[in-house]
Amino acid sequence: MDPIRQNLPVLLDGLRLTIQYSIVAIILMVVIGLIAALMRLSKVALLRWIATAYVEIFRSTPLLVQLFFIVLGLPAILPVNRWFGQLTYPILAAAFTLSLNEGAYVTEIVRAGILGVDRGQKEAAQSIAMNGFQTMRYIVLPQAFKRMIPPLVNQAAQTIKDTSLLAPVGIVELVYKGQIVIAQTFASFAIWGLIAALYFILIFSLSKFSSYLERRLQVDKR
Amino acid sequence: MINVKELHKSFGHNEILKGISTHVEEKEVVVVIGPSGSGKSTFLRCLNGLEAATSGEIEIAGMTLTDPKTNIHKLRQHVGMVFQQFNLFKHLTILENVTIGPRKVKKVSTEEANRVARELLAKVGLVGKEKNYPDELSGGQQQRVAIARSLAMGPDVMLFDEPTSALDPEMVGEVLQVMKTLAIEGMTMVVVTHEMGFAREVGHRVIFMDDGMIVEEGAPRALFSDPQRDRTKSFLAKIL
Repeated sequence: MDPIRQNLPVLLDGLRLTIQYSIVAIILMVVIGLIAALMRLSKVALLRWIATAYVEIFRSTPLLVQLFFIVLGLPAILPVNRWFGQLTYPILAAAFTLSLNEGAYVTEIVRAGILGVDRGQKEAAQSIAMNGFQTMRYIVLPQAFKRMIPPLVNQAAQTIKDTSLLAPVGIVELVYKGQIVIAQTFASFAIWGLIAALYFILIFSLSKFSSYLERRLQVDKR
Repeated sequence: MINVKELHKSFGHNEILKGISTHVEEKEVVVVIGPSGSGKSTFLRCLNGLEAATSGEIEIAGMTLTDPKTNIHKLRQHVGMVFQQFNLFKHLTILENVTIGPRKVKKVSTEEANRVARELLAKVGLVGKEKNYPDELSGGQQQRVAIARSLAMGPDVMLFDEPTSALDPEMVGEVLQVMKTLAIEGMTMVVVTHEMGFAREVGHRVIFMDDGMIVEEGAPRALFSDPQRDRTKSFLAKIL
């Protein structure tokens, strides 16, 4: 009990950072995923090609390797540390790499959501003279979004867990703080157990929130 | 109002329309009949650009649809379309279904769009359903909302693609009644349908299509009672 009570403030500070990285990555992954999905469905072959290459590259390599490559590898050939600052670059690069990685999966979720909307909906929108943007914005995306919520929440949970991979590249968050505490107290069982519990609480509340959201949309039928 | 010259449409190597030429006058109600696969729905969908013509020329509401310089969205404001499967926007209420076109496309104010929508919903007999969602309505009611949604854009021509084919028999009448009212008010209409009673009663002209071509056309009475072509005769014998 003692090592936990003594070090709880440090770990909670780590949790705060984990939550911050998670929020940033979740917002960015949705934005990136939406843009890349629209590119994948574009009539312009070049846009389709770029988006497909992006998705395939990020899905087919491990996140940890991507993080090492961009956070620690890139500074070896580019003066990125000078451009962004010695302390800022790793944080920016790590958050961005994580977002890009998760965004690749969101791209597929959004794409499937858009393709799942009945073709008749699009044709009806065209028949009342809506252009491509209006059709997407007012008719297709709102309907696609509803069916995207469960897989998106799933991906958000995955993103929260994936922030733990920021520790190995030197980003301070919950796992990083935990390792420091353990190095000082040797209470690895208690501290790892506590860290797991904190992640559990975070992700479990997210999934509860998601089932509430789904229920509410069900009640409204939309 | 509509002028079609040598319209061809192919999907890959499959030629669906093999040279359609016809003309629709203002306030005319033209009914297109024919066996399934004859190309009548494709023909209708070409008239508002949902399918692009492979070759030929379509003039509609004073614009040349087949001219690549024509703004298709501008043109579609003048051409309403009603689908077999209604295709109401599932995530919007009945009122929003009718107002979204005027509000977003024509930039009409919400108050004005609502006012017009309520009038149109009254016209198609759906007062009190404004706040419902499409899947809470019967098929016949949904199709009448779809007609109101098209009318809200103030079209010069209305296209109907088998508007009663997906309906239970007892709901066919209410939709045909709305269409009949429109015809009497002088709307220019092109109707693809299997409802021969409607064709006979409301249609000014009937076009019989088969195998991607117009086989025969004429006044309903003449075409139904005295068809000239064998294919028309055998088709009518099967359905009448």
